[in-house]
Amino acid sequence: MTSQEKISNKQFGSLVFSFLSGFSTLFLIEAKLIKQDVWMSYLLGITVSIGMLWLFVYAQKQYPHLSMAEIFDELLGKWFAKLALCLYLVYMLETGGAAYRALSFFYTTAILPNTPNIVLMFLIFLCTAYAVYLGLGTLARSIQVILPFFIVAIVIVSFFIVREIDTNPFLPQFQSRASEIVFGGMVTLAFPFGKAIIFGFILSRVKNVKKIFSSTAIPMALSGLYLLAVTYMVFGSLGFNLSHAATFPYFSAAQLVRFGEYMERIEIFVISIWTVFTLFEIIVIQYIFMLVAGHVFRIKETRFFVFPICLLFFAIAHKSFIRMMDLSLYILGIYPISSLLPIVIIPVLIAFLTLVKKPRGAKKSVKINPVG
Amino acid sequence: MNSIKKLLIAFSLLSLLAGCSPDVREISDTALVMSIGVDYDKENKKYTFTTYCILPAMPGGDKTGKLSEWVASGSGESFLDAAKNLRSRAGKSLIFQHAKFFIVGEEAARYSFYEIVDFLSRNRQIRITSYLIVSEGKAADKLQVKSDSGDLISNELLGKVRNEKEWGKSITMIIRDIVNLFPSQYRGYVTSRLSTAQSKSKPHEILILKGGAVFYKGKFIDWLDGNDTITVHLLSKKSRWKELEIAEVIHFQSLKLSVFYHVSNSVIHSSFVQGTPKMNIDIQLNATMGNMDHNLNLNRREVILQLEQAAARQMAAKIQKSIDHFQKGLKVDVLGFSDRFIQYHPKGWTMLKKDWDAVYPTIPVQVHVSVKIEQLGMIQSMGVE
Repeated sequence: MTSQEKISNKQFGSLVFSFLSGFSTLFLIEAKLIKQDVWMSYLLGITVSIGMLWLFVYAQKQYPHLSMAEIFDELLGKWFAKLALCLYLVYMLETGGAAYRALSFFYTTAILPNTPNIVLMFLIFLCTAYAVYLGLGTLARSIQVILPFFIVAIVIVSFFIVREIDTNPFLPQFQSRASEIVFGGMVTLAFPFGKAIIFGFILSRVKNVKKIFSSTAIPMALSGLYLLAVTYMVFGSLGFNLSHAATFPYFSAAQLVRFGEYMERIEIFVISIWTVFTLFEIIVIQYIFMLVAGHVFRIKETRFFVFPICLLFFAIAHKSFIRMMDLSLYILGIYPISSLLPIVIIPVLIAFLTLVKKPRGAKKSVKINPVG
Repeated sequence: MNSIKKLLIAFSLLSLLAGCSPDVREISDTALVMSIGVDYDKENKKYTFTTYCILPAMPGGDKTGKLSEWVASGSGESFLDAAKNLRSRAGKSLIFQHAKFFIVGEEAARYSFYEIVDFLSRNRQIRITSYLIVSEGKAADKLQVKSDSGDLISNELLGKVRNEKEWGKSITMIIRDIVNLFPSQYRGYVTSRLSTAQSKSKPHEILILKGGAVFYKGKFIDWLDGNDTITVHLLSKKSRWKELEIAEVIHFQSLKLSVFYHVSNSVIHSSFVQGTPKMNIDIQLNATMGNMDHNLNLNRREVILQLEQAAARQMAAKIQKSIDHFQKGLKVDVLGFSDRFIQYHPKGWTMLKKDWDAVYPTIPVQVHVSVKIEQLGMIQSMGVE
């Protein structure tokens, strides 16, 4: 693991896209809620998410030689910075735990009903801990290898699902109240788009800081487009009632894909996409958690803490969201509110302080944590 | 030493291979369920779950290359209970992933359809692309019938479903559509009807897939005949009619001509005229001449035009008759008119939906059919002096 290894802007963009496109299409909770007007909620969620990340990018550009954790120190002072960073650690734990559970629930419901959840989560733990140990550079290079396979798989599955669509499923438009759209936007902001805020902590690891906003905004917009396309295909091919009833609507829609009369079960493509991208999501969360925790607790050599940190995620996931309904209730009921602090409030505060305080001493600042 | 350790670790992974699993199933111990029959006894409130299986391997080896059929039934208080009780009679491990047909008995479709649909959509082993058929009488009896061709019943049923597009007098829905339309309070839907008839060549009964079973508000309502299912095909989504081929006998002057139609386009328009809902149906058919009982000079353009007009009138009357039956006889919106109003007239629909059951039978439906005789076949007319 090379602690100071930088990644290119393209690699960073690929990482953002795969991070957001993991299990965002698994439940389609917001789509079930808002139905055909969900595109407005998506638009709202993406716009706010991009805006919030832009605030971090703005702060990063003012302090190009500091990591985001160090910028927190600079702007908030040592103890307030620690408090804010601890909030991000909690946020990452809940998000990572949900991702662990979502993947294991999917497997135990649809594919491996006799396998205990803990076994699957333990396998996820082993796999992701090793990936975190390998570091950001390896992760960024591997996503570049996987992304073309993802695009091919999605194009094939989409081509066959679109054939099942007869009428525009997004009709009639504008049937939801403004409050419903806003709530849908909050759900979408919390899950999946707002999660991208944690990429703020690795902005300093991207080679070209000047182009960093487009490297973030474009993959986020593409991820939104992908989610919208999946929602359209699911509504169009399954219908509203079945989309609403299905636990994994996109998986059910993919079951319709067949070549000829007997070549079925193409949904394996969808399963592989979910699995790989959700694993990437967990890996990224754990990696950034390690960086932030290293800064907060002044750990010089974080690589020795990879295993315990990933074990912490495993333990949190094992003790949280025991029933599948817990996960959707959490995403609908608690997450849109609890995530506002790390996704909206703190970035706004950081940007405001950056604007107010001049970035003096940015160059002479001493790095506390070499991995940051 | 290190390489020996690595080798040992690599070999230890072999224990994870499927063959070493205690959960392994030998192929000779399995029965592949190809079709499932569901019956319900209203008086006893008992379900009967019948499976039509094939045994992929028989002990002894004397039947190598042949698939053996096996039909078994179990009863219980619920659908799942009946399916589990079947295990008391099954000496094989039942594999449900290949089940393509669910045959629901008439009584089950009428009185306990919710539980059946719930089970079919909830169970991970059942694919939403499987077909659901309603049987006249008991479904279990249908699975005991021998096929006319000597093939497996499941293959025979699949062939019959495949043939639907060649005559249109049967319409089989997949579970996806049934689960999606099931909760609707405004529209109904049609899936195919399975009955038996005496074979003309063999001394046993055979299965007949013809007509349809109408469902509305979560239960079976009535049967449809073959002509009505043609109308349902014609006015359903494009995937239903794009490959449809329907035969029709045209009475023209004193002649009787048989043609077969392909659908070029089929559109349903909904509108509100002075606050009153109205439907317009526009169907374009391409015809191919099949046969005629006397000579007709088809080289003359005016003859062809007259023939096309006669064919269009006849087809429009036939469709209108079916729609009248849906509106005034069944009083069930099997063609999805309500969906049109929901999608394209959401404001009007908010007023309409309160009295939909009363309004639906009174909606004026204008049917317009145009026929183009494109193909005359390998001859134009028999050369009779």
